[in-house]
Amino acid sequence: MEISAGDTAWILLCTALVMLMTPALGFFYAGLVGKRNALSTLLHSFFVLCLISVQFVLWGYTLAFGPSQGGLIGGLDWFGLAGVGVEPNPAYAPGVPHLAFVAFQMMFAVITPALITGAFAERVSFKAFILFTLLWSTVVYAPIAHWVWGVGGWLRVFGSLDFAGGTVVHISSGVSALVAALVIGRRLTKTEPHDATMTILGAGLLWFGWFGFNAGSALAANGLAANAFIVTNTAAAMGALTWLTVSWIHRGQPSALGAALGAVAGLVAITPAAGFVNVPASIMIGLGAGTICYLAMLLRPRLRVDDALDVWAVHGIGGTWGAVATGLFASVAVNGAGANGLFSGNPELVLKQLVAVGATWLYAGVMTAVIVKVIQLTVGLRVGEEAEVVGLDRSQHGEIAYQVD
Amino acid sequence: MELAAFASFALLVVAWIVLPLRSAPEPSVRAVDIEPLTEPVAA
Repeated sequence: MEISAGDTAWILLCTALVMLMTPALGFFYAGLVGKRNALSTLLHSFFVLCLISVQFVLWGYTLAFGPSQGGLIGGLDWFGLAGVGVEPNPAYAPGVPHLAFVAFQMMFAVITPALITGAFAERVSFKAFILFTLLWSTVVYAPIAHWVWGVGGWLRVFGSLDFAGGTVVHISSGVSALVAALVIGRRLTKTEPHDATMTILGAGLLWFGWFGFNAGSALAANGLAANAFIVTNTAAAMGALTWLTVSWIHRGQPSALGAALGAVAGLVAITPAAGFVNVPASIMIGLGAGTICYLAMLLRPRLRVDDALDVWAVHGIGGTWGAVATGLFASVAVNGAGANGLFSGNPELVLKQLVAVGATWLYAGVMTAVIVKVIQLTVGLRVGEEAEVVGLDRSQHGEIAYQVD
Repeated sequence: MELAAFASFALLVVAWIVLPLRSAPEPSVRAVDIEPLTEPVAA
């Protein structure tokens, strides 16, 4: 199979864009925590980038994309990337080296567990965080990625659509965040965002990287990538405008942090739909994301769960809305390899999307509860009370983010 | 779909025009109190 120089250059560039999203997420989260936990929060994202970069080439990729074992998980045929070389794999990305596809998928595997760290910020021990990330990526991420994107994966065969990771990345991380926060328990004291400018910088860099995430998921430099690019930008903008407006109605003032959170909510929601919907639909998806995720954020404290940085509200609920919206707005006029949604006369797609959403919620929720409980009963989950009061920067890492109090 | 999208955006624009802008005495995000890095020089 012939390698396309244009497609390969595009995928490698998109890989680098998606890589940037994880440190950007670190900035997004670090601005939202107290200043005594800024460095540890940044490190969570940076460390996940390092940890999963190695885990993925050793066994993550083959479990997610290797030859299917009954549609549930990939086999170990490609352990350590054995047999994976520069020749394209036509089943995944014809025209680009198989290794380029691996690198692109690796960055998705990296950012997904990093998203969860927002739920247990400011109280989890570094040791527990490492174990959780490694176990979760292996036991939760890899199987779900296989279901949805692996050749022979049961949701792929079933016909549910997820262009760039609404279920695989966002619902799985958002639901897991809620469950993890529930088991870990609340922080001793709630802190206010210590640097909103850092969060808005992080949101801007996330938005930039998201072009690689969604447009790169076309796996070729083509018209589908262009469609994914523009609907991604439109939904992000509409999500930000909507969240800001809803917060203005609700609190009497337009929130700057709300604009950042709304942009991310819009980006999350368009992720599964980016290769299947047109531009007007992306406006509706962004509008829904800004409204629904804001309401979910208001609901979360009533659940009495300290999901510190609202990962569930933005990623769990935003991803769910995006998956359902794909069932509503998808059109084969955008992507002939996709399917028509409800508004194009095919209500069956909504049901298929709901099955994918339900399966992801259930599997991610149950397995995360098991993983967190196992860690709690072995090495423990939380730092001690004194360490939490001092802050994780000093107590876990012996460093501080700022030379000022 | 195009009309619905246009109406959604138009609704936001109208909201920005008609919504009152409350002036809150306390910012929702507390300013970080930065202390001077060096001691003041004695006269």
